[in-house]
Parts: sequence; structure tokens; C-alpha cells
Amino acid sequence: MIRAEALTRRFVVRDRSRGLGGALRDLFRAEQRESTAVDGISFEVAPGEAVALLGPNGAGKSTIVKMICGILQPTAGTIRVGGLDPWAERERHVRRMGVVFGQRTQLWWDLAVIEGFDLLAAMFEVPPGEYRARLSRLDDTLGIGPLLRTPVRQLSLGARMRCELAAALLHAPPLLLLDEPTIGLDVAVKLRLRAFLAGLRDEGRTTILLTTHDLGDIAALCPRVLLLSRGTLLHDGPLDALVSTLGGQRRVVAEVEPGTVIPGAYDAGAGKLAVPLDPAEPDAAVLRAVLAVPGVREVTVEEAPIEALVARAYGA
Amino acid sequence: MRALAAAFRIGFAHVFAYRAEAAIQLFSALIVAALNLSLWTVATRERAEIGGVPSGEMLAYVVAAWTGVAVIATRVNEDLGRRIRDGQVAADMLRPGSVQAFLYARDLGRAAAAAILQAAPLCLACALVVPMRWPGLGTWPLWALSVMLGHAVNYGLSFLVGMAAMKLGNVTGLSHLKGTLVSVFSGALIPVQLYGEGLQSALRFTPFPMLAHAPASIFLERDEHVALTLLTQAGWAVGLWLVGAWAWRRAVAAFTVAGG
Repeated sequence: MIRAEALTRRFVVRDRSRGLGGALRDLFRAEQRESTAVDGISFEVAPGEAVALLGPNGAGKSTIVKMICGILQPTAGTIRVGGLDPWAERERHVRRMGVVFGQRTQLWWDLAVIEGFDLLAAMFEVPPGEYRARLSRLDDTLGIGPLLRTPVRQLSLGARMRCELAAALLHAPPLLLLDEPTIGLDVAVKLRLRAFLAGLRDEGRTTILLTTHDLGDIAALCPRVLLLSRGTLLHDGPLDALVSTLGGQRRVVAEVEPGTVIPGAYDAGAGKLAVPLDPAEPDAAVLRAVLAVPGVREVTVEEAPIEALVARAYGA
Repeated sequence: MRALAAAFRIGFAHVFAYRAEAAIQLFSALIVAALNLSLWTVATRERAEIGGVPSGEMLAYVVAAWTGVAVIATRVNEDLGRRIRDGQVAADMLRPGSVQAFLYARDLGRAAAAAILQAAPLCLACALVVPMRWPGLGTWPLWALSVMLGHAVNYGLSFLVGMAAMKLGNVTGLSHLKGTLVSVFSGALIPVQLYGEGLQSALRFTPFPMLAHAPASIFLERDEHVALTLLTQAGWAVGLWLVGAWAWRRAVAAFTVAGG
């Protein structure tokens, strides 16, 4: 469904000077630098797969999504979606894609939800009978019926995201792109959206590409993760394999006095240091080494939160 | 066509989305028309004609011009400029069809709503205080066509200004410039025939008089070459459309949608 080969995107960024003097100087002299947001990334997503794009802010996730959407051209390399060049064949490409942006709306802010749905159905040429049937099914699964006559601006964030998801699916696209769809949502709404998307994934008719900072979303929805950092691909595979690559989940956590240094340890917060445990090595050796360090007050062995492991990967 | 009809409906519905805003816009149009009428009443008081236009007709011209302006006035430049600046234009680019055509159809809907909510009440209110010589039955459709073409010309200008945000980042200044040029040279504030000959000649090569002066002249049945006027308006509308389409294709190729 998606094939990216040596995908690269560079931007020219204009640096602004600080203060009043700087603002005046910038009028006459523009300092620019080139920034590489995506650097030679290659990957493939098969039809029906559910894949997550994970990475810290500025890793290149949204840039990749924009190139897949066809609203940004690659500087180098190629991207094909369903055999189409998203940029050059935009008109055909967008008809086969649904997009949900967590931080932008595709509905009309001042008008009732149903007005936006009607317009989208018209733009995507969804036959009226199909439109009614699909709307009914989306109401069954997302509970959007009571929201249809409400102006979008008056919806809560959770209600709006349900409507955004419905809007993206009105034309039954074979590809669904979700750019941080659960951002800012409460737990109940997140679970509801995840259940819906998991159902969609399990039907096997929709390819799902998800960008998110929420590892719960990934664990619930995406068997495969593309981990990005600074425009490069660090990992392409299952989330479990990513965790193993990052040093496994178990760790020794030591509560220490300020200034204590343990070789191979990382900061676990709240005055603690953590040393990952290698599943292939006995724990006792690591425990002895940690206990031998002066300044160590207390030691425990625990499962490392996935977030901590991924944060270490970001930092590396 | 179904999509454009739906866009028209959205534009129409949008005008009625905020009742207070709709009322204030009508009130504002009435105030501006009243101020203009007062000004021209004073100016024409002791004179039989101004710039070749009989004084009595001058007030009717003001009513006709401002009625047309209420319909053709658009905020496409500000709206599109803002959407480009904050990245919301990505949602527009992810829908099938031409963004230019979609925005035009939507603004046509707005214009239709404005005709009902602002232009008609404005015209009727002014007619209560200004002795209007209403045009013949055959002139009304020509006037309506001229207003629609004037709207298309104004849309073309506004689209170009709005999409300049892809290059400039901020089109507030450009929007003000366009608004000033339109106000001064469209004939809405000052009838074009009152300008000097040199300026009148120069304005013939610009689209501005096509916005208000042309429809108002047809309404007052002072245009001796109505067909030519309508053709000229259509020519400007088509020309600006083609330039806008070409410029959009080029701008989008070099543009980066803002935001992550």
C-alpha cells in the first residue's frame, strides 16, 4: 500500500534574531539554514497493516505523513501509495485516503456536524444510499448520532474526534492516516476510539498508519512500529522487539545519595538510577555490582515502563 | 457539480450561523450607505450635475453601488491567508477537487445569502429616502448578471491575495491594500466618472471599475454598451481565474504546510 524509498525532505529555516535590534536587523539580512527533517528513510506498509510512527518531537513523523498525504513533496527519494505518486496524482490519491489530524479539523467550525458530513460525502462522490448506510454504521460504533446537529465549535474534544474519525471514513478509504488522534482525550474516550480502530484493523480492509506519542495506542492497535529519531529510522518491527532492542524491560532501580555514579545506569527520576537487566545474563552479578557502589541506599528489581525505555531511545 | 452545490450551501448557511453577526453586518451596511448618501446629498445640493451625472441620479448611483458591494464584498483573501498561515489549508488540500473552485462556490453561497440579508434590505431602506428611478424589467437580469460577474472578478482578486500567504506568510498588509484599491477605484465610494480623464483612462485597464461602477451603471441604464461591459467583466473574471489557477499550482509546489 505504501512504499517509501530513500525518502528525504529538507527545509530551509529562517533564523530570527532576538530583541528589538535583532528584529530590525532581520528586515535587511535573513539568516537561513538547511534542516533535514527526513533523511533517506525506506519502508513498506502492506495493505491491511496497522503501523505506528513513533518518535520524539521533531523526529520527522508529521513530515512523513505530509509526504504520504501528498501535501509535501520529497526533496529526494520516492513515495508511492497504492501505486500512485501522492503529489503528482493528488486528485486520485486523496479519494483513496482518509486523514484525521489531532490538531486540525476537517469539519466546518461554525456549522453543524451533519453539514460538514454532507459536503464531504458530496466531494468524495459517495452515493446517497451508501452515505446513509455508512453514517448509520458509524453512529452504531462511534455514537455520533446525537452530535450531528451540533455546531463543531460546541463539541467537546472527545466528541469532535469521534466526528473527525467518522468524517474520514465516510468514503470508506482503503488507507487511514491518523496524526495523533488521541491527543488531549480522556481515558474513556481513548479506549472507545482504540476499540473502534481495532475493529477496523481486524476487518483487514483498511490500512492504518498512526503517529502518536501514546504507547498505549500503539500497544492496542499496531503490531508494528517505525521508531524515528532526527529523521532516521531506528527500528522497524514489533513493539516487543523494540523493547528488547532497548535493553529489555526489567531493570535494577537504586535509590542513591546525590552525586552517586553507577556505571551503565540512567536517571530514573526522583533521585533514582536504573540499570537495565540483560535477560541472557544472571541478575545476581548486576545486583552485586550496584550494591557495591558507595551511596546506594536501596535496590529493587522491576519492570521498566515502556515509556522510560523509549525516552532513553529518544535521548540516544 | 454535487460538490460545488454542497459548497454553495455551506457558504449560504455560514452567513446565518451567527444571528448577531448577520444583524450587525446589515446595520453596518446601512450606516455606511447612510453616510455616503448624506455626503452626496450635501455635494449635490446646489448643483444640477456632477461629472456629467445629474445630481438626482447621483444618489441613486450610490444606492445601486452599495447594494452591489453588499453582495460582492468577500473575505476570501483573509480567510485563505489565515488558513495557509496556520496550516489549516492542509485539510482543504486533502479533499478532492480544486480548492479554488470550492472557495468560489462557497463564496457564491455567501453572496446569495448577503443578497437576501443585506443587499435587498439595504436597497429597500435607501429607496424610502432616495427618489429611485427603478430600471425597466429587461434591465434587472442584466444587472444581476453584472453583479455576479463583479463578484467573480472580486473573488479572483481576493484569491490571488489570499494565496500570496504561501510566499509572504502574512497577507494582512496586502489585504488592506487590495481593500483600499477596491474601495477607491471600484466606484463604490466615488463614481468613476468623477475622476480625471487620465485616471479614468488608466482604470479602464484594471478590473476595479468592474466591481461596483459597471453594475451600478447598468442599473441606472446609463451604460450604452451593456454587452461590452458584461463581456469585459467576464474577461476579467476568466483571466483572473486562470492566473489564480496557475499561481496556485506553482505556489503549492514550493509551499510547506505549517505545523506538525
